[in-house]
Amino acid sequence: MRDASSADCSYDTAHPRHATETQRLVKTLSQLYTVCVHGSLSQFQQEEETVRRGHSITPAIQNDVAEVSLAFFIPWDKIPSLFTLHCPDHALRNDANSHVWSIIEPTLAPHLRQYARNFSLIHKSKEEVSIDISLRAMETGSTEYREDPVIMSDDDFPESPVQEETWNFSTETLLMACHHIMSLWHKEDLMMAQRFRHLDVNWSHSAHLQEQNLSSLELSTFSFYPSSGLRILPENIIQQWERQLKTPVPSSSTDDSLDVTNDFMAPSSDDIDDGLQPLLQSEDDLSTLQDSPYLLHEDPSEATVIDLVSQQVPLNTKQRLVVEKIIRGALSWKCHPYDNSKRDQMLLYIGGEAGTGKSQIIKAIVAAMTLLRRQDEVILMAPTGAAADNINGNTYHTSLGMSIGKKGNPKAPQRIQRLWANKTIMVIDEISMVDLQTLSTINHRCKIARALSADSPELFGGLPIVIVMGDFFQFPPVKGLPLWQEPRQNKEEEVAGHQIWLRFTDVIILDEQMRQATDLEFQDLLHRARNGRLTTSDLDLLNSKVIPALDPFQIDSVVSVVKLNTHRHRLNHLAMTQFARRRKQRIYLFPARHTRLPSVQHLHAEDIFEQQDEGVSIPSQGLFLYTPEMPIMTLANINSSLRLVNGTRGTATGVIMEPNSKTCLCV
Amino acid sequence: MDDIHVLCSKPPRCVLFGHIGSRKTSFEAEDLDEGIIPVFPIVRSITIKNHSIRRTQVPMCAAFCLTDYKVQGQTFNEAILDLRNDPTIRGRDSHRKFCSLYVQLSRLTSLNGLHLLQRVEMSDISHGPHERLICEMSRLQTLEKQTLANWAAELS
Repeated sequence: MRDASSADCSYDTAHPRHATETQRLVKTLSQLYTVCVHGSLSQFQQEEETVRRGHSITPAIQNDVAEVSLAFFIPWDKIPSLFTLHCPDHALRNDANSHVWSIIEPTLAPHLRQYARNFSLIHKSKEEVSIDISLRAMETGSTEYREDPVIMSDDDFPESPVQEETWNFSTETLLMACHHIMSLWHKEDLMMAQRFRHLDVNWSHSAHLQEQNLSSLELSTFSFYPSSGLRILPENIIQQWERQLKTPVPSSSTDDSLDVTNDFMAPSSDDIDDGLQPLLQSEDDLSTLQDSPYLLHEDPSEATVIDLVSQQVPLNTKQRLVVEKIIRGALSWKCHPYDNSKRDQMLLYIGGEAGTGKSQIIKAIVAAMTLLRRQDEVILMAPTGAAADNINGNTYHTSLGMSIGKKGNPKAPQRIQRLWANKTIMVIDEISMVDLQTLSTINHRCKIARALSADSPELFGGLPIVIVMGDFFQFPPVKGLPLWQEPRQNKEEEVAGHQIWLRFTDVIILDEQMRQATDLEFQDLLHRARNGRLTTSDLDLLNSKVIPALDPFQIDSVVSVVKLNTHRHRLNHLAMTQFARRRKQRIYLFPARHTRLPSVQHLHAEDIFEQQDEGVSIPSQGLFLYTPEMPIMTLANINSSLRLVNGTRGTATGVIMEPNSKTCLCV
Repeated sequence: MDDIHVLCSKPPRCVLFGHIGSRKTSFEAEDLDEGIIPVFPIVRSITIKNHSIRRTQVPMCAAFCLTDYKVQGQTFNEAILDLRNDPTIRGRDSHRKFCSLYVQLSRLTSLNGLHLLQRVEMSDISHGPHERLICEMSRLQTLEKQTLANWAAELS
C-alpha cells in the first residue's frame, strides 16, 4: 500500500476490504475532501424539490431516509440481525427501515444522534460543495485543492466509487473507426452538396484503406508543412502556461478578486465572485477614463456626468434620457443613504429592436460610474457566457452561485455578502432568454447574497436599481417560459417570476436603429420581418441573394448560419476542406481520450468518435479537426478574464501535440 | 484517394487560440506570440447511446458555420444565412421559427452582406411573433408612455 503509516486503521478482519484497503486519518486540512453524494437521496427526490420551502415528510420518504441512516450509522455486519430481532416481518412491511431505525436511534451516542437528525438536510448540490471547497481552500491558503469532488452516481451507491478506466484503442481500431467515419462524412457531405447545389465536395474518399495507411508514420519523420502549426514543446513550458492561465489577469479592481480559473458555467462553478466588478475593456477608448483628469470629486449633477460620458460614448436622445435617469438614481442613493423616502427602488426594462443600441447604454452606465469612482457598485450579468462577454459581465449562475432548477446554498458566505452589499446597479442583459422560474431564482439568490431572508418583500434584496434589457423578438429561453408568457398556475416559481416581471413598471423602448443606420431598404425589410409581414417582393429580394450555383462561392471565407447542428458539422467540414485545399494544407484529426466504467462494454469506437459536439451537453468533438489558421470557436466557458467563453470565435494558430503521440496516419 | 486528412493518435496537448481583430487580451507566456492563448482539453461526462462515458478533449470546433442560436448578440458585415425551415427540425414552434428568421436577418449591417444558402418559399418567411408577445408589447408601450411622463414630471 502506498504511503502507509502507523496512524492508519485497518478494516475489521471480517470486512470484505480488509487487507486490500486501509482507512487513513486526515492529518492536515489539505487532505480533507468534502464528501459529496451526488444523485437522489430518495426515489421521491424530484417531486420533493418541486415543493417550495422543503418537502413534506411522508412515510415513504421517512423510510428511505431511515435506510440511509442505518447504512451510515450502524456497522454493516450488525444490520441483518437487528432486522431479524426488531422487525421479523420486514420483508412484508414497507416501513421496516423506519421501524428499526426508531428503535436503534435512541441507543446511539448523542453526537451520532445529532448527525443523524441533520441527515435529510445533507443534499447539497455539487456547486455548493465546490463553493465549500473553495472557501476552505481560502482559509488554509492552499491552492492544491481538488476541485472535482468524488461523485457517486445512484448506481454506485452505497459501494465505493468504481474506478473508471481509460479506454485504450489500438492504433488499428482507431484507424478503422476513423476510416469508417470519414466514409460516412464523405457521403453526408455529398448529400449536403446535392441539397445546396452550389457547394462543391472537393475531396474524395477511398472505399478501402490503402495498405500504406496501416504502416504508422513516425511523427519525427513525417514531413510537416512548415506552416502546419503542429509543434511539440518541452513539458515544463506547457506546464508553465497552465500555471499562468490559473493566475488571474491583473485588473483595475483586484482587491476583491480571487484566483479564479475554472469553467464558470460548469456545475462546479465555485468562482462566484469572479469579476463582480465590470471592467473597462482595453479596446474601448473608455479605459482612459480610469485615469481621466475628469474624475469627479465633488457632488456633480447627473448632467455634468453624462456630458463627460457622451464625449466617449455617443448617445442619442432616448439613450441619454435613460442613462441620466439611472445616474440620477445612483447619485440620490449616495446622497441620502438613510432617507427612505428618497430610496425608491427602480425596476427598469429597456427594450428595443436588434441594433438600437442597448449595449451602448451599459457602456455609458459603467463609464459614468467609473467617473464617479463607483464602478464597483455596478454588476453586469447575462444568461449565457457569450452574452455576458458582450457586456463584459458574468453569467448570473456565476455571479449568484446558482444553477437552474436548484435552490442553491441557503446562506451566502460573508465574503459574497460583503461584495453584494455595496451594489447599486444590477443589469441583466438578453432578458428574452431568461425564463419565469429563473427570474424568481435570481430574485431569491439576490436576497441571499444581500443577507435578507427568503420571505423579505424587497425584490432583488433591495438592490436600488435593477435593469433588465433585451428584445423579446429574439430567441426565447431554451427551457421554461419567457417572461411574456402566462405562468402555469401549478408552477409556483413561474407565478412568482411573473409577479416580479409585472413590477418592472419603468419601461423604455429604444427605437433609433443604430446597426443598419445607413441601409434604409434593409431597415424596412427587417421591420416587416419583425412583424411577420414579409411580402412577395421581399421573398424575391431574398431569393436573389442565394449564393450562385456556378461560381464556386467561398463558403470558407464568409461565416454561414444554419438551424441544425448536423448541417453545421457538414458545412464546417465542407468549408474546412475547401479552406485547406486553397491553402494547400492538410486537415489533422485529433481523437478525444475516453474513460468508462467497466460496465460500459457495448460501444463501438465509431460510435464514440463519430459523436461531435452538440449543445452544452457535449462541448467537445470525438474527432477534433484542425487545419492551420482556420476560424475556431470555443464550446465552453474556459476563462472569462481572457474572454474565452462558450461561443467566442477566433483563429487556431497551432496545436501543441502530446509528447508521446508519435504517429500520424493518413486515412 | 484522400490525401488531405491526417489522423493523429492522441488529443492535442493544447490548441493555440488567437482572438479576432482588435479583441486583445493581455496573456503573455514563454514561446507564445503575444495574445495567443493555449486552450487545454477538458473532461466532461457525455452520453452516447445511453452509455455515460468521460471525454477528454479541447472544447473547440471549427467556426466556418454557426447555428442560429449561437449568433444571437453578434453583428456581421457579411454572412450566408439559412432561412429555410427544414422538415427535419423538430421541437420548434412557429414563434421559434420566427425568432430564427428575425435573429438571423438582424445580425447583418446591410443587404449587401446578405447571402442565402438556399432558396426560400413564402411559407419559410411568413412566421410572425407569438400573439401573447404582441399583447405584452402593447402593455410595455403603455408603460413606456407613463414612464416618460413620470420622468419628465420629476425633472420639472
